[in-house]
Amino acid sequence: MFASKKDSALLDWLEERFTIKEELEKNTTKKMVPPHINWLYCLGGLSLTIFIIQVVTGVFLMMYYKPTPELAYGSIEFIVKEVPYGWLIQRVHSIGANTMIILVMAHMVRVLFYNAYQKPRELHWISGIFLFGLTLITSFTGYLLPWTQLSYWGATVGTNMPGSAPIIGEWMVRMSRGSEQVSGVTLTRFFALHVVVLPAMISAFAGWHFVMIRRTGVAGPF
Amino acid sequence: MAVDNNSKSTDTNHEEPFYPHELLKFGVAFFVFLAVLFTLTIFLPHGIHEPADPMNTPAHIKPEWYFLAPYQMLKIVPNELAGMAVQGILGLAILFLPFWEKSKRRHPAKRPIFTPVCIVVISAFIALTLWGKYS
Repeated sequence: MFASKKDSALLDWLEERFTIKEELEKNTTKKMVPPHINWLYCLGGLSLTIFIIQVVTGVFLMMYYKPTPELAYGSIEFIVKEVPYGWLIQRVHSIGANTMIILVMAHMVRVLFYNAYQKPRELHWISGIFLFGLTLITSFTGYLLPWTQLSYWGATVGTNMPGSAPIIGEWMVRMSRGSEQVSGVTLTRFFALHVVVLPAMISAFAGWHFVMIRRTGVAGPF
Repeated sequence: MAVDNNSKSTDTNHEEPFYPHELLKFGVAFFVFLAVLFTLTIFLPHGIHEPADPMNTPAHIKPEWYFLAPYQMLKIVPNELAGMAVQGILGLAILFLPFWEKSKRRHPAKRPIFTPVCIVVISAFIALTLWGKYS
């Protein structure tokens, strides 16, 4: 299609500047995949889709959200009740987080039962496990941000869990909270992780994940 | 038909063009997914959330659903340290799975040990989650 003589003027214009046709062909018309790829192979792509939705809705939420114990709850209330379509953005972000975990889990189970992690795709699996862990931590840190009774005590129970680990347990609890109890320090800490550090890490690991799957191709059906 | 999973080459075993059919398939999945997400968004009950009160501990505090299984496991194992150790080993085993589970067989029915183990582990995760939710 892209190589036909009827190429658009725009494509020709781009072609002269950075030889886009070859790349397009390589990734579309000339890219071959194993026969009988089924619907379950969509789960990874859908995980990426929901991640992008989370980033976009997250940026909109950040425009009104205030990460302090005094203002957090009220700012979410304001988003839901006053900001045009704020309720929609907030709901999509919160339900999207749970959906993302379910999709990533489903993708993992698919890879597991298809034995798709074998050589030469070991690193695909390992980067995927990191992506799964990062997804969980991102959800956990985001859950505290509305500063509701549920999120406050959820964060308390969650940050308490590494406490039973030997030697470093107490230190880990203290570091994750920034104080004895979950407090305003915890909130800003979780906020910074949730909006900058973790999404950046997910993007990096996902990029690695995608480059590798492009290099090896997907594992074929049985 | 049979695709050699160990092949290093990218396209030699791949026989169907990605575009347009496979891309279209993903497009359909994409829109079905969006429909489900927005249906959930609009119809799931909203729930009433009270603002956080650090002075007032609620009666039953639990983590979110995705942490319920490890949480419940730590609760039922009498020794906290042992519980943590089991979880740590399980986590490492899953992380390094491709390095200790090297079967060439692909079909689940042809993996008589691995497939049942997987099903047991996944069932245990679901059971612990439900147990944590309703206990």
